[in-house]
Amino acid sequence: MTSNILDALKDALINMDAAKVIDLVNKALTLKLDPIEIIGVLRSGMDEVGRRFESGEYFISELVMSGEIMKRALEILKPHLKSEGRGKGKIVLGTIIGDLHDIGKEIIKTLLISSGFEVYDLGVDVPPEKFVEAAKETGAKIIGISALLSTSIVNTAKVVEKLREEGLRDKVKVIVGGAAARQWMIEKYGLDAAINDAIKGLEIIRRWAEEG
Amino acid sequence: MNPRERVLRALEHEEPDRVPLDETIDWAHPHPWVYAANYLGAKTYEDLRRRLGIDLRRIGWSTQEELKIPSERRPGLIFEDSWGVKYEVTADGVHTRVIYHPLQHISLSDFEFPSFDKIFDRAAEFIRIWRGEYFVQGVMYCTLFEIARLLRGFNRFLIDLYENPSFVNELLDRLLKYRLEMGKRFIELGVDCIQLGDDVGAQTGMLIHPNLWRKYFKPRMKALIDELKKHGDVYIWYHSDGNVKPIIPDLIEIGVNILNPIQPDCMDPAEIKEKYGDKITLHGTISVQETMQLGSEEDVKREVITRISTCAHGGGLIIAPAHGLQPSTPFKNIIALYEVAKKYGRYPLKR
Repeated sequence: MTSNILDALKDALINMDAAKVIDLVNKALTLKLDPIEIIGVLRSGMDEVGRRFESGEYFISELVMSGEIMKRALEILKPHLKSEGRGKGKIVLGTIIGDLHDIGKEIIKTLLISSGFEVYDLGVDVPPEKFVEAAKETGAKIIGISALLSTSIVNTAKVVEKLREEGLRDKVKVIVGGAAARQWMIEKYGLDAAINDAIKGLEIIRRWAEEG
Repeated sequence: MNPRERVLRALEHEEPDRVPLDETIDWAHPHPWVYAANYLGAKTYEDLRRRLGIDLRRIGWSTQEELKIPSERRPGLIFEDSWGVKYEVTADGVHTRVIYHPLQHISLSDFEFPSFDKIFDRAAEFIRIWRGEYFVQGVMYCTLFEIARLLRGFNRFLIDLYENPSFVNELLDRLLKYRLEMGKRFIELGVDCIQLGDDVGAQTGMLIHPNLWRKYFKPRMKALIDELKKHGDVYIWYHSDGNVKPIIPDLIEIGVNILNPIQPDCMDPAEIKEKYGDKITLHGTISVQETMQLGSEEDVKREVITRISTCAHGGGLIIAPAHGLQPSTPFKNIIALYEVAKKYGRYPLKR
Protein backbone atom coordinates (compact mmCIF):
# COMPACT_ATOMS: atom_id res chain seq x y z
CA MET A 1 0.00 0.00 0.00
CA THR A 2 2.64 2.50 1.14
CA SER A 3 5.06 1.68 -1.58
CA ASN A 4 2.18 1.82 -4.10
CA ILE A 5 1.35 5.35 -3.02
CA LEU A 6 4.96 6.44 -3.15
CA ASP A 7 5.50 4.89 -6.57
CA ALA A 8 2.33 6.55 -7.84
CA LEU A 9 3.48 9.85 -6.32
CA LYS A 10 6.77 9.69 -8.14
CA ASP A 11 5.04 8.80 -11.43
CA ALA A 12 2.52 11.63 -11.02
CA LEU A 13 5.35 14.13 -10.58
CA ILE A 14 7.23 12.75 -13.58
CA ASN A 15 4.02 12.99 -15.63
CA MET A 16 3.36 16.62 -14.55
CA ASP A 17 0.06 15.68 -12.90
CA ALA A 18 -0.15 18.37 -10.21
CA ALA A 19 -3.60 17.46 -8.87
CA LYS A 20 -2.61 13.83 -8.41
CA VAL A 21 0.65 14.74 -6.64
CA ILE A 22 -1.20 16.95 -4.14
CA ASP A 23 -3.81 14.26 -3.59
CA LEU A 24 -1.20 11.56 -2.99
CA VAL A 25 0.91 13.75 -0.68
CA ASN A 26 -2.19 14.32 1.46
CA LYS A 27 -2.98 10.60 1.41
CA ALA A 28 0.57 9.72 2.41
CA LEU A 29 0.38 12.14 5.34
CA THR A 30 -2.92 10.62 6.45
CA LEU A 31 -1.16 7.26 6.47
CA LYS A 32 1.45 8.83 8.78
CA LEU A 33 4.31 8.38 6.37
CA ASP A 34 7.49 10.27 7.23
CA PRO A 35 7.43 13.64 5.40
CA ILE A 36 11.17 13.30 4.79
CA GLU A 37 10.52 10.02 3.04
CA ILE A 38 7.82 11.71 0.93
CA ILE A 39 10.23 14.52 0.01
CA GLY A 40 12.82 11.88 -0.86
CA VAL A 41 10.36 10.28 -3.26
CA LEU A 42 9.49 13.62 -4.83
CA ARG A 43 13.20 14.35 -5.10
CA SER A 44 13.83 11.11 -6.92
CA GLY A 45 10.95 12.12 -9.23
CA MET A 46 12.72 15.44 -9.81
CA ASP A 47 15.95 13.53 -10.49
CA GLU A 48 14.11 11.55 -13.14
CA VAL A 49 12.72 14.76 -14.66
CA GLY A 50 16.31 16.08 -14.67
CA ARG A 51 17.54 12.90 -16.33
CA ARG A 52 14.84 13.18 -18.99
CA PHE A 53 15.79 16.84 -19.49
CA GLU A 54 19.43 15.79 -19.94
CA SER A 55 18.53 13.12 -22.45
CA GLY A 56 16.37 15.52 -24.46
CA GLU A 57 13.07 13.86 -23.60
CA TYR A 58 11.94 16.78 -21.41
CA PHE A 59 12.33 20.53 -21.83
CA ILE A 60 12.33 23.76 -19.78
CA SER A 61 8.51 23.59 -19.65
CA GLU A 62 8.74 20.32 -17.69
CA LEU A 63 11.47 21.67 -15.38
CA VAL A 64 9.27 24.67 -14.56
CA MET A 65 6.10 22.61 -14.15
CA SER A 66 7.74 19.94 -11.98
CA GLY A 67 9.41 22.72 -9.95
CA GLU A 68 6.00 24.28 -9.40
CA ILE A 69 4.48 20.96 -8.34
CA MET A 70 7.43 20.36 -6.01
CA LYS A 71 6.92 23.81 -4.46
CA ARG A 72 3.20 23.14 -3.88
CA ALA A 73 3.96 19.73 -2.37
CA LEU A 74 6.62 21.23 -0.09
CA GLU A 75 4.11 23.84 1.14
CA ILE A 76 1.87 21.01 2.29
CA LEU A 77 4.73 19.03 3.80
CA LYS A 78 6.57 21.86 5.58
CA PRO A 79 4.29 22.03 8.66
CA HIS A 80 4.78 18.29 9.13
CA LEU A 81 8.57 18.40 9.16
CA LYS A 82 10.01 17.95 12.63
CA SER A 83 13.26 19.69 11.94
CA GLU A 84 14.82 21.10 8.86
CA GLY A 85 18.34 20.71 10.14
CA ARG A 86 19.40 18.16 7.64
CA GLY A 87 21.59 20.69 5.87
CA LYS A 88 24.41 19.64 3.62
CA GLY A 89 25.79 23.18 3.81
CA LYS A 90 25.14 26.73 2.79
CA ILE A 91 25.45 28.20 -0.67
CA VAL A 92 25.03 31.74 -1.99
CA LEU A 93 23.39 31.77 -5.41
CA GLY A 94 22.66 34.48 -7.97
CA THR A 95 22.74 35.46 -11.63
CA ILE A 96 25.68 37.73 -12.44
CA ILE A 97 25.29 41.46 -13.07
CA GLY A 98 24.10 42.25 -16.58
CA ASP A 99 22.17 39.01 -16.84
CA LEU A 100 18.50 38.57 -15.96
CA HIS A 101 18.07 34.94 -16.79
CA ASP A 102 16.83 33.06 -13.80
CA ILE A 103 15.74 29.72 -15.21
CA GLY A 104 19.20 28.18 -14.89
CA LYS A 105 19.49 29.55 -11.39
CA GLU A 106 16.05 28.20 -10.48
CA ILE A 107 17.00 24.78 -11.79
CA ILE A 108 20.18 24.51 -9.73
CA LYS A 109 18.39 26.07 -6.76
CA THR A 110 15.68 23.43 -6.89
CA LEU A 111 18.28 20.68 -7.21
CA LEU A 112 20.30 22.11 -4.31
CA ILE A 113 17.30 22.54 -2.00
CA SER A 114 16.06 19.06 -2.74
CA SER A 115 19.59 17.78 -2.01
CA GLY A 116 19.52 19.35 1.45
CA PHE A 117 21.46 22.58 0.88
CA GLU A 118 20.54 25.88 2.49
CA VAL A 119 20.35 28.29 -0.44
CA TYR A 120 20.66 32.07 -0.16
CA ASP A 121 19.23 33.31 -3.44
CA LEU A 122 20.32 36.86 -4.33
CA GLY A 123 18.17 36.97 -7.48
CA VAL A 124 19.34 38.16 -10.89
CA ASP A 125 21.60 41.01 -12.07
CA VAL A 126 23.71 40.68 -8.90
CA PRO A 127 26.80 42.92 -8.50
CA PRO A 128 30.04 41.04 -7.57
CA GLU A 129 30.35 42.60 -4.11
CA LYS A 130 26.87 41.34 -3.14
CA PHE A 131 27.97 37.72 -3.58
CA VAL A 132 30.92 38.30 -1.25
CA GLU A 133 28.88 40.24 1.32
CA ALA A 134 26.28 37.45 1.40
CA ALA A 135 28.96 34.77 1.83
CA LYS A 136 30.40 36.74 4.77
CA GLU A 137 27.02 37.27 6.38
CA THR A 138 25.80 33.69 6.04
CA GLY A 139 29.10 31.91 6.44
CA ALA A 140 28.49 30.06 3.16
CA LYS A 141 31.59 28.32 1.83
CA ILE A 142 30.31 28.11 -1.72
CA ILE A 143 29.22 30.82 -4.17
CA GLY A 144 27.24 29.68 -7.21
CA ILE A 145 26.96 32.14 -10.08
CA SER A 146 24.56 31.66 -12.95
CA ALA A 147 25.31 33.19 -16.36
CA LEU A 148 23.61 32.77 -19.69
CA LEU A 149 25.04 35.77 -21.52
CA SER A 150 28.57 35.55 -22.85
CA THR A 151 28.79 39.35 -22.41
CA SER A 152 28.16 39.20 -18.68
CA ILE A 153 30.05 36.09 -17.65
CA VAL A 154 33.34 38.00 -17.61
CA ASN A 155 32.03 39.75 -14.46
CA THR A 156 32.36 36.49 -12.54
CA ALA A 157 36.10 37.21 -12.39
CA LYS A 158 35.24 40.26 -10.28
CA VAL A 159 33.61 38.05 -7.65
CA VAL A 160 36.88 36.13 -7.33
CA GLU A 161 38.82 39.40 -7.19
CA LYS A 162 36.54 40.72 -4.45
CA LEU A 163 37.00 37.51 -2.44
CA ARG A 164 40.76 37.90 -2.76
CA GLU A 165 40.58 41.54 -1.59
CA GLU A 166 38.64 40.42 1.46
CA GLY A 167 41.16 37.64 2.16
CA LEU A 168 38.49 34.98 1.65
CA ARG A 169 39.63 33.34 -1.57
CA ASP A 170 40.90 30.13 0.06
CA LYS A 171 37.82 29.87 2.28
CA VAL A 172 35.09 30.15 -0.36
CA LYS A 173 34.75 28.10 -3.53
CA VAL A 174 33.25 29.67 -6.66
CA ILE A 175 31.33 27.75 -9.29
CA VAL A 176 29.91 29.36 -12.44
CA GLY A 177 27.08 27.62 -14.23
CA GLY A 178 24.92 28.31 -17.26
CA ALA A 179 24.91 28.29 -21.01
CA ALA A 180 27.85 30.70 -21.24
CA ALA A 181 30.13 28.70 -18.91
CA ARG A 182 33.24 27.20 -20.51
CA GLN A 183 36.10 25.14 -19.07
CA TRP A 184 38.74 27.68 -20.11
CA MET A 185 37.12 30.27 -17.85
CA ILE A 186 38.29 28.39 -14.73
CA GLU A 187 41.88 29.44 -15.28
CA LYS A 188 41.20 32.79 -16.93
CA TYR A 189 38.74 34.08 -14.32
CA GLY A 190 40.26 32.24 -11.34
CA LEU A 191 37.18 30.07 -10.67
CA ASP A 192 36.99 26.68 -8.99
CA ALA A 193 34.54 25.26 -11.52
CA ALA A 194 32.64 26.28 -14.66
CA ILE A 195 29.97 24.02 -16.05
CA ASN A 196 27.01 24.31 -18.42
CA ASP A 197 25.10 21.39 -16.97
CA ALA A 198 23.05 21.70 -13.77
CA ILE A 199 23.24 18.03 -12.83
CA LYS A 200 27.04 17.98 -13.16
CA GLY A 201 27.18 21.27 -11.27
CA LEU A 202 25.23 19.70 -8.44
CA GLU A 203 27.67 16.77 -8.34
CA ILE A 204 30.61 19.17 -7.99
CA ILE A 205 28.90 21.13 -5.20
CA ARG A 206 27.97 17.91 -3.36
CA ARG A 207 31.59 16.76 -3.58
CA TRP A 208 32.86 20.07 -2.17
CA ALA A 209 30.33 19.88 0.67
CA GLU A 210 31.45 16.35 1.52
CA GLU A 211 35.11 17.39 1.46
CA GLY A 212 34.13 20.16 3.90
CA MET B 1 20.40 40.54 -61.16
CA ASN B 2 19.08 42.88 -58.48
CA PRO B 3 19.02 42.05 -54.76
CA ARG B 4 15.37 40.94 -54.82
CA GLU B 5 15.94 38.60 -57.76
CA ARG B 6 19.02 37.24 -55.97
CA VAL B 7 16.95 36.40 -52.87
CA LEU B 8 14.04 34.94 -54.87
CA ARG B 9 16.45 32.69 -56.77
CA ALA B 10 17.96 31.42 -53.52
CA LEU B 11 14.49 30.84 -52.02
CA GLU B 12 13.55 28.75 -55.05
CA HIS B 13 16.64 26.62 -54.32
CA GLU B 14 18.50 27.78 -57.38
CA GLU B 15 21.92 29.40 -57.45
CA PRO B 16 21.86 33.19 -57.99
CA ASP B 17 25.02 35.23 -58.76
CA ARG B 18 26.10 35.15 -55.12
CA VAL B 19 24.82 34.12 -51.68
CA PRO B 20 22.27 36.75 -50.55
CA LEU B 21 23.12 38.75 -47.42
CA ASP B 22 21.07 40.21 -44.60
CA GLU B 23 21.74 42.34 -41.50
CA THR B 24 20.50 42.21 -37.91
CA ILE B 25 20.57 45.86 -36.88
CA ASP B 26 19.05 45.94 -33.44
CA TRP B 27 17.54 49.30 -32.58
CA ALA B 28 18.20 48.96 -28.88
CA HIS B 29 21.89 48.01 -29.28
CA PRO B 30 23.05 49.25 -32.71
CA HIS B 31 26.56 50.11 -31.46
CA PRO B 32 28.75 47.90 -33.70
CA TRP B 33 26.65 48.77 -36.78
CA VAL B 34 27.03 52.48 -36.08
CA TYR B 35 30.81 52.08 -35.66
CA ALA B 36 30.95 50.12 -38.93
CA ALA B 37 28.97 52.89 -40.68
CA ASN B 38 31.32 55.56 -39.35
CA TYR B 39 34.34 53.54 -40.45
CA LEU B 40 32.93 53.08 -43.96
CA GLY B 41 31.75 56.69 -44.20
CA ALA B 42 28.09 55.69 -44.48
CA LYS B 43 25.69 58.48 -43.55
CA THR B 44 22.49 56.43 -42.99
CA TYR B 45 21.55 52.82 -42.31
CA GLU B 46 20.36 52.56 -45.89
CA ASP B 47 23.76 53.80 -47.04
CA LEU B 48 25.41 51.21 -44.74
CA ARG B 49 23.20 48.41 -46.05
CA ARG B 50 24.09 49.29 -49.64
CA ARG B 51 27.81 49.40 -48.89
CA LEU B 52 27.66 46.03 -47.12
CA GLY B 53 25.63 44.47 -49.94
CA ILE B 54 22.46 43.71 -47.96
CA ASP B 55 19.74 42.22 -50.16
CA LEU B 56 16.78 42.22 -47.76
CA ARG B 57 14.83 45.00 -46.06
CA ARG B 58 12.54 44.90 -43.01
CA ILE B 59 9.49 46.89 -42.03
CA GLY B 60 8.02 46.85 -38.57
CA TRP B 61 8.72 47.63 -34.98
CA SER B 62 10.83 50.76 -34.85
CA THR B 63 11.98 51.14 -38.43
CA GLN B 64 14.33 54.08 -38.15
CA GLU B 65 17.12 55.47 -40.22
CA GLU B 66 19.03 57.73 -37.87
CA LEU B 67 22.56 56.47 -37.26
CA LYS B 68 22.78 56.99 -33.53
CA ILE B 69 23.84 55.07 -30.46
CA PRO B 70 21.05 55.41 -27.90
CA SER B 71 22.19 57.21 -24.77
CA GLU B 72 22.87 54.77 -21.96
CA ARG B 73 19.78 53.96 -19.99
CA ARG B 74 19.90 54.65 -16.28
CA PRO B 75 19.98 51.40 -14.28
CA GLY B 76 16.67 51.04 -12.48
CA LEU B 77 14.74 53.07 -15.07
CA ILE B 78 11.24 51.64 -15.56
CA PHE B 79 9.34 51.85 -18.83
CA GLU B 80 6.26 50.31 -20.41
CA ASP B 81 5.62 48.89 -23.90
CA SER B 82 2.43 49.22 -25.95
CA TRP B 83 1.05 45.99 -24.40
CA GLY B 84 1.38 47.39 -20.88
CA VAL B 85 4.33 45.11 -20.03
CA LYS B 86 6.76 46.98 -17.75
CA TYR B 87 10.54 46.65 -17.87
CA GLU B 88 13.36 47.75 -15.62
CA VAL B 89 16.83 48.62 -16.94
CA THR B 90 19.41 46.35 -15.34
CA ALA B 91 22.48 47.36 -13.39
CA ASP B 92 24.65 47.28 -16.55
CA GLY B 93 22.50 49.98 -18.24
CA VAL B 94 22.16 47.79 -21.35
CA HIS B 95 19.62 45.03 -20.81
CA THR B 96 16.16 44.96 -19.26
CA ARG B 97 14.08 42.69 -17.09
CA VAL B 98 10.30 42.35 -17.13
CA ILE B 99 8.81 43.48 -13.84
CA TYR B 100 5.09 43.68 -14.65
CA HIS B 101 2.98 41.16 -16.55
CA PRO B 102 -0.48 42.67 -17.24
CA LEU B 103 -2.31 39.34 -17.35
CA GLN B 104 -1.27 38.57 -13.79
CA HIS B 105 -3.32 41.59 -12.71
CA ILE B 106 -6.04 42.09 -15.35
CA SER B 107 -8.48 39.44 -16.52
CA LEU B 108 -8.17 38.43 -20.17
CA SER B 109 -11.70 39.59 -20.97
CA ASP B 110 -10.89 43.09 -19.65
CA PHE B 111 -7.53 43.30 -21.41
CA GLU B 112 -7.36 45.34 -24.60
CA PHE B 113 -4.76 44.68 -27.28
CA PRO B 114 -2.84 47.75 -28.49
CA SER B 115 -3.27 49.27 -31.93
CA PHE B 116 -0.59 48.30 -34.44
CA ASP B 117 -1.14 51.41 -36.55
CA LYS B 118 2.16 52.98 -35.48
CA ILE B 119 4.13 50.15 -37.14
CA PHE B 120 2.58 51.17 -40.44
CA ASP B 121 3.33 54.91 -40.04
CA ARG B 122 6.16 54.96 -42.52
CA ALA B 123 5.67 51.51 -44.07
CA ALA B 124 4.22 52.77 -47.34
CA GLU B 125 7.09 55.21 -47.73
CA PHE B 126 9.75 52.52 -47.19
CA ILE B 127 7.99 50.06 -49.46
CA ARG B 128 7.89 52.67 -52.21
CA ILE B 129 11.68 53.10 -51.93
CA TRP B 130 12.51 49.39 -51.72
CA ARG B 131 9.85 47.50 -53.65
CA GLY B 132 11.07 45.65 -56.68
CA GLU B 133 14.73 46.19 -55.92
CA TYR B 134 15.00 44.59 -52.50
CA PHE B 135 13.29 41.63 -50.85
CA VAL B 136 10.92 43.40 -48.44
CA GLN B 137 9.64 41.75 -45.29
CA GLY B 138 6.94 42.66 -42.79
CA VAL B 139 8.02 41.85 -39.24
CA MET B 140 5.59 40.03 -36.94
CA TYR B 141 8.01 38.47 -34.45
CA CYS B 142 6.69 37.52 -31.03
CA THR B 143 3.77 36.18 -32.99
CA LEU B 144 2.04 34.09 -30.33
CA PHE B 145 4.16 32.44 -27.62
CA GLU B 146 6.41 35.36 -26.83
CA ILE B 147 3.68 37.94 -26.44
CA ALA B 148 1.70 35.45 -24.37
CA ARG B 149 4.58 34.78 -22.00
CA LEU B 150 5.35 38.51 -21.67
CA LEU B 151 1.72 39.24 -20.85
CA ARG B 152 1.41 36.38 -18.40
CA GLY B 153 4.97 35.86 -17.10
CA PHE B 154 7.31 33.13 -18.34
CA ASN B 155 6.90 30.51 -15.62
CA ARG B 156 3.22 31.29 -15.12
CA PHE B 157 2.53 30.80 -18.84
CA LEU B 158 4.44 27.50 -18.96
CA ILE B 159 2.34 26.29 -16.03
CA ASP B 160 -0.81 27.55 -17.82
CA LEU B 161 0.11 25.33 -20.77
CA TYR B 162 -0.30 22.37 -18.42
CA GLU B 163 -3.04 23.55 -16.12
CA ASN B 164 -5.10 26.25 -17.76
CA PRO B 165 -5.82 25.26 -21.38
CA SER B 166 -9.02 27.32 -21.68
CA PHE B 167 -7.14 30.50 -20.76
CA VAL B 168 -4.28 29.62 -23.13
CA ASN B 169 -6.69 28.87 -25.99
CA GLU B 170 -8.60 32.11 -25.52
CA LEU B 171 -5.43 34.22 -25.36
CA LEU B 172 -3.84 32.54 -28.39
CA ASP B 173 -7.04 32.79 -30.47
CA ARG B 174 -7.18 36.52 -29.84
CA LEU B 175 -3.48 36.86 -30.72
CA LEU B 176 -4.02 34.83 -33.90
CA LYS B 177 -6.78 37.17 -35.03
CA TYR B 178 -4.63 40.20 -34.22
CA ARG B 179 -1.64 38.84 -36.17
CA LEU B 180 -3.83 37.92 -39.12
CA GLU B 181 -5.13 41.48 -39.44
CA MET B 182 -1.61 42.83 -39.14
CA GLY B 183 -0.23 40.40 -41.72
CA LYS B 184 -2.96 41.21 -44.21
CA ARG B 185 -2.09 44.88 -43.92
CA PHE B 186 1.57 44.12 -44.71
CA ILE B 187 0.50 42.05 -47.71
CA GLU B 188 -1.77 44.81 -49.04
CA LEU B 189 1.22 47.16 -48.90
CA GLY B 190 3.15 44.77 -51.12
CA VAL B 191 5.74 42.98 -48.97
CA ASP B 192 7.47 39.88 -50.35
CA CYS B 193 7.57 38.03 -47.06
CA ILE B 194 6.04 37.90 -43.60
CA GLN B 195 8.43 37.29 -40.71
CA LEU B 196 6.79 35.17 -38.03
CA GLY B 197 8.57 33.96 -34.98
CA ASP B 198 8.59 32.99 -31.34
CA ASP B 199 11.66 32.05 -29.35
CA VAL B 200 10.83 28.49 -28.40
CA GLY B 201 14.41 27.20 -28.48
CA ALA B 202 17.01 27.22 -25.72
CA GLN B 203 20.75 26.56 -26.03
CA THR B 204 20.62 22.78 -26.14
CA GLY B 205 16.96 21.97 -26.69
CA MET B 206 13.52 23.46 -26.87
CA LEU B 207 12.06 25.68 -24.15
CA ILE B 208 8.72 23.96 -24.30
CA HIS B 209 8.00 20.33 -25.01
CA PRO B 210 7.50 19.84 -28.77
CA ASN B 211 4.15 18.23 -27.98
CA LEU B 212 3.01 21.38 -26.16
CA TRP B 213 4.11 23.38 -29.22
CA ARG B 214 2.19 20.99 -31.45
CA LYS B 215 -0.89 21.18 -29.25
CA TYR B 216 -1.19 24.96 -28.92
CA PHE B 217 0.99 26.71 -31.47
CA LYS B 218 1.33 24.57 -34.57
CA PRO B 219 -2.39 24.57 -35.50
CA ARG B 220 -2.58 28.35 -35.04
CA MET B 221 0.64 29.00 -36.96
CA LYS B 222 -0.74 26.82 -39.75
CA ALA B 223 -4.04 28.73 -39.80
CA LEU B 224 -2.13 32.02 -39.89
CA ILE B 225 0.20 30.90 -42.69
CA ASP B 226 -2.68 29.42 -44.75
CA GLU B 227 -4.66 32.66 -44.49
CA LEU B 228 -1.65 34.88 -45.26
CA LYS B 229 -0.72 32.82 -48.32
CA LYS B 230 -4.35 32.95 -49.45
CA HIS B 231 -4.30 36.71 -49.10
CA GLY B 232 -1.19 37.27 -51.21
CA ASP B 233 1.86 35.74 -52.81
CA VAL B 234 4.23 35.87 -49.84
CA TYR B 235 7.04 33.80 -48.45
CA ILE B 236 6.88 32.83 -44.79
CA TRP B 237 9.83 33.22 -42.49
CA TYR B 238 10.02 31.70 -39.03
CA HIS B 239 12.39 32.93 -36.35
CA SER B 240 13.35 31.15 -33.17
CA ASP B 241 16.57 31.50 -31.28
CA GLY B 242 18.22 28.38 -29.98
CA ASN B 243 17.69 24.74 -30.80
CA VAL B 244 14.36 23.96 -32.47
CA LYS B 245 15.43 20.77 -34.26
CA PRO B 246 12.44 18.73 -33.02
CA ILE B 247 9.91 20.98 -34.79
CA ILE B 248 11.69 21.75 -38.07
CA PRO B 249 9.69 19.07 -39.95
CA ASP B 250 6.49 20.57 -38.49
CA LEU B 251 7.50 24.07 -39.62
CA ILE B 252 8.13 22.80 -43.14
CA GLU B 253 4.81 20.96 -43.09
CA ILE B 254 2.81 24.10 -42.22
CA GLY B 255 4.41 26.15 -44.98
CA VAL B 256 7.46 27.93 -43.55
CA ASN B 257 9.92 28.84 -46.34
CA ILE B 258 12.78 30.46 -44.41
CA LEU B 259 14.21 29.35 -41.06
CA ASN B 260 16.13 31.91 -39.00
CA PRO B 261 18.63 32.30 -37.33
CA ILE B 262 20.07 28.74 -37.04
CA GLN B 263 22.55 29.66 -34.32
CA PRO B 264 25.51 27.39 -35.02
CA ASP B 265 26.15 27.27 -31.26
CA CYS B 266 22.80 25.46 -30.89
CA MET B 267 22.15 23.61 -34.18
CA ASP B 268 24.61 22.56 -36.89
CA PRO B 269 23.66 24.44 -40.09
CA ALA B 270 25.32 21.74 -42.23
CA GLU B 271 23.08 19.11 -40.64
CA ILE B 272 19.96 21.24 -41.25
CA LYS B 273 21.06 21.77 -44.86
CA GLU B 274 21.69 18.07 -45.34
CA LYS B 275 18.31 17.04 -43.91
CA TYR B 276 15.98 19.83 -45.03
CA GLY B 277 17.97 21.97 -47.49
CA ASP B 278 15.71 21.15 -50.43
CA LYS B 279 12.61 22.30 -48.54
CA ILE B 280 13.70 25.31 -46.54
CA THR B 281 16.08 28.26 -46.84
CA LEU B 282 18.62 28.75 -44.06
CA HIS B 283 18.92 32.35 -42.88
CA GLY B 284 21.56 33.65 -40.44
CA THR B 285 24.00 30.87 -39.41
CA ILE B 286 26.97 33.02 -38.29
CA SER B 287 27.65 32.70 -34.55
CA VAL B 288 27.10 35.83 -32.49
CA GLN B 289 27.66 34.11 -29.15
CA GLU B 290 31.21 33.18 -30.09
CA THR B 291 32.61 34.24 -33.46
CA MET B 292 31.16 37.71 -34.09
CA GLN B 293 31.56 38.81 -30.51
CA LEU B 294 34.65 37.03 -29.23
CA GLY B 295 36.41 35.95 -32.42
CA SER B 296 38.94 37.72 -34.67
CA GLU B 297 38.34 38.81 -38.26
CA GLU B 298 40.20 35.63 -39.25
CA ASP B 299 37.72 33.54 -37.21
CA VAL B 300 34.80 35.30 -38.93
CA LYS B 301 36.36 34.62 -42.32
CA ARG B 302 36.82 30.94 -41.49
CA GLU B 303 33.22 30.55 -40.32
CA VAL B 304 31.73 32.32 -43.34
CA ILE B 305 33.78 30.20 -45.74
CA THR B 306 32.78 27.02 -43.89
CA ARG B 307 29.12 28.00 -44.09
CA ILE B 308 29.33 28.71 -47.81
CA SER B 309 31.11 25.46 -48.51
CA THR B 310 28.66 23.36 -46.49
CA CYS B 311 25.33 25.17 -46.96
CA ALA B 312 25.33 27.34 -50.09
CA HIS B 313 25.17 24.68 -52.82
CA GLY B 314 21.93 24.77 -54.79
CA GLY B 315 20.84 28.09 -53.23
CA GLY B 316 18.73 28.08 -50.07
CA LEU B 317 21.19 30.05 -47.93
CA ILE B 318 21.06 33.70 -46.81
CA ILE B 319 23.99 34.74 -44.66
CA ALA B 320 23.61 37.09 -41.67
CA PRO B 321 24.72 37.21 -38.05
CA ALA B 322 22.59 34.71 -36.13
CA HIS B 323 21.07 37.41 -33.89
CA GLY B 324 21.36 41.09 -33.04
CA LEU B 325 24.97 41.88 -32.13
CA GLN B 326 25.95 42.58 -28.54
CA PRO B 327 27.27 46.13 -28.06
CA SER B 328 30.80 44.81 -27.41
CA THR B 329 31.09 43.13 -30.84
CA PRO B 330 34.10 44.51 -32.79
CA PHE B 331 32.75 46.40 -35.82
CA LYS B 332 35.56 45.06 -38.00
CA ASN B 333 34.00 41.62 -37.64
CA ILE B 334 30.90 42.99 -39.36
CA ILE B 335 32.94 44.29 -42.26
CA ALA B 336 34.86 40.99 -42.45
CA LEU B 337 31.60 38.99 -42.57
CA TYR B 338 30.22 40.83 -45.60
CA GLU B 339 33.55 41.22 -47.44
CA VAL B 340 34.27 37.51 -47.16
CA ALA B 341 30.70 36.47 -48.00
CA LYS B 342 30.72 38.61 -51.15
CA LYS B 343 34.13 37.30 -52.21
CA TYR B 344 33.66 33.59 -51.49
CA GLY B 345 29.88 33.42 -51.98
CA ARG B 346 30.00 33.83 -55.78
CA TYR B 347 28.26 31.11 -57.79
CA PRO B 348 29.31 28.77 -59.21
CA LEU B 349 31.04 27.90 -55.95
CA LYS B 350 34.69 26.90 -56.04
CA ARG B 351 35.07 23.34 -54.84
